[in-house]
Amino acid sequence: MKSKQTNVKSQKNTVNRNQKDSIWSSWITMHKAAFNNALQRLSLAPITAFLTILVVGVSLSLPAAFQILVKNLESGQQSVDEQSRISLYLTKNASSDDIENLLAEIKTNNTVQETVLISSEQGLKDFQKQNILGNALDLLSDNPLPAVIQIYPDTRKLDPSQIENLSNELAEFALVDKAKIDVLWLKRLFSITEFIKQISLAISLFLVFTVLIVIGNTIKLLGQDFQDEIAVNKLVGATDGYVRRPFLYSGLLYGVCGSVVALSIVLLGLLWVNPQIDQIAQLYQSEISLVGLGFSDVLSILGTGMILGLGGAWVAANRLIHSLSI
Amino acid sequence: MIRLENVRKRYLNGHDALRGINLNIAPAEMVFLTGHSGAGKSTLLKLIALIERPTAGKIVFEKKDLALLSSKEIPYHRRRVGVIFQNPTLLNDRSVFDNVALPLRVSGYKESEIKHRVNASLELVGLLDKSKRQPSILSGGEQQRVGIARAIVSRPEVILADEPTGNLDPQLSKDIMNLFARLNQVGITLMIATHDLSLIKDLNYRQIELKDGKVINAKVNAAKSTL
Repeated sequence: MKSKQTNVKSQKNTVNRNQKDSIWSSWITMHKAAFNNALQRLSLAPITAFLTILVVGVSLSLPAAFQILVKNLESGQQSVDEQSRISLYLTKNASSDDIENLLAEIKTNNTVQETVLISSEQGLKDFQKQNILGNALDLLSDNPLPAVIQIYPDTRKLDPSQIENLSNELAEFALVDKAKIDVLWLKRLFSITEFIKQISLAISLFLVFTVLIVIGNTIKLLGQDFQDEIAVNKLVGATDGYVRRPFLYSGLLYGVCGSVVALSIVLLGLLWVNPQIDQIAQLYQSEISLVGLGFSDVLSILGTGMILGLGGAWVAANRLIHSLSI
Repeated sequence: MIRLENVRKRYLNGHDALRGINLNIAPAEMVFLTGHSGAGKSTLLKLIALIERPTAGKIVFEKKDLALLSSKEIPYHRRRVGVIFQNPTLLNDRSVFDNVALPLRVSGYKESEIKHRVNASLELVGLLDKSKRQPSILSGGEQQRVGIARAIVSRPEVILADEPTGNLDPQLSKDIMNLFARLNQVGITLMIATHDLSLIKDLNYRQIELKDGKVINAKVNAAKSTL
């Protein structure tokens, strides 16, 4: 009894010893402990963890795929823009001098990048080469084809509606019989791209919200198993941050693992689609190729997963903490 | 150390647990709260540990009005107060050692310091040899002592004990009371709620009797302490 008494006293006397870690090392220790705790919690319910990660992965893969689709549409649209041109069909009686004058005048317009003249003779030759009408052309006494000036507008300076204006301007020239551009289908493509962008944004937002709820719900269920632990921790002086930390790490793990699953799904999808795109491109003698996953895409998908994981866990953990009366 | 001024607590169901308590506990004092179950002993201790908030009145803890503490400050208040319940809320998925270490871990103590202190606490309650066991395989009395070790491990200024000997046999109960007395001798303030009058009748400490949420009798035993 006597010895125990001095024991208590000596224990009390050591209070001034360096008992607590420095702020940094205690911070690191606590975070390490929280991370290990989070891992432990995941391993306690591996099937739940696996399913959650799968759901998060699948939900994130669609926005990721949309991101790549939109990127491809935009690059495709750009290459179409580069190809857009205005064809000026000249009147039949235009002399070659008149045509030269007109060409010179058109070239002064700085929104015009390039002009190509196809004389009526040249046009006839091309026509014959393609042999579409067979010998029908030979029956005609004179060349029915007008001379054509092809104009390539500078698409960096002009958008489709401005190209249309340019075409209307050019049509005013007396020598020009008709000006024609494919602006209509260009416009359509543009609006479809916009439409797809907006739809994907809406669906992506919806799915992102789903991920938030899935992670939040998993954390909530997880938390119910740890209510006793949380209560005891709070009773002995744990801050809300201390209680919340393992849950945040759990959420982070779900988010990151889910993102990795999503990236894998998208990569597999790209591998599957790529040969087919190549085939189509070959068919149309186009140089269209798929823009794949870039470094920034990987980062943004991982980042989205992390933020969603943290966000879902934060909300769920706070609700849990405040639901306890301690 | 602890001052209560006209403290009232009414629960949501309309039950008045405390109806105007005035108390003054001096630093390093040890007092017993007595009274039948339902007299308000537990509620009183919960208010001091900030597990619950009073409906009215003022609780001053070391010159600080507890009502003025924000929810962010509550954890730091609890670190200064060790709480022991009749039913020790131990975590059965970890060892006795880890249960006792909990208050130190949440405060960010060094692992070497944790080891030193937890072992010292377990020695005080006589359970050092069982530190690696799971609490669930210990007897009720041993679990109770683990709870006490957990409450004293962070060397709190105040220990609040709610029926700490409720599950113990008379001899163990006496040992625990002796332990409390020793803690008191090194300057810790203790408030111990108990309905076991036979246990404390020979002890020379202030007794505060509660009935229906009011202090009805405060006396110091004339009998000599057996300690």
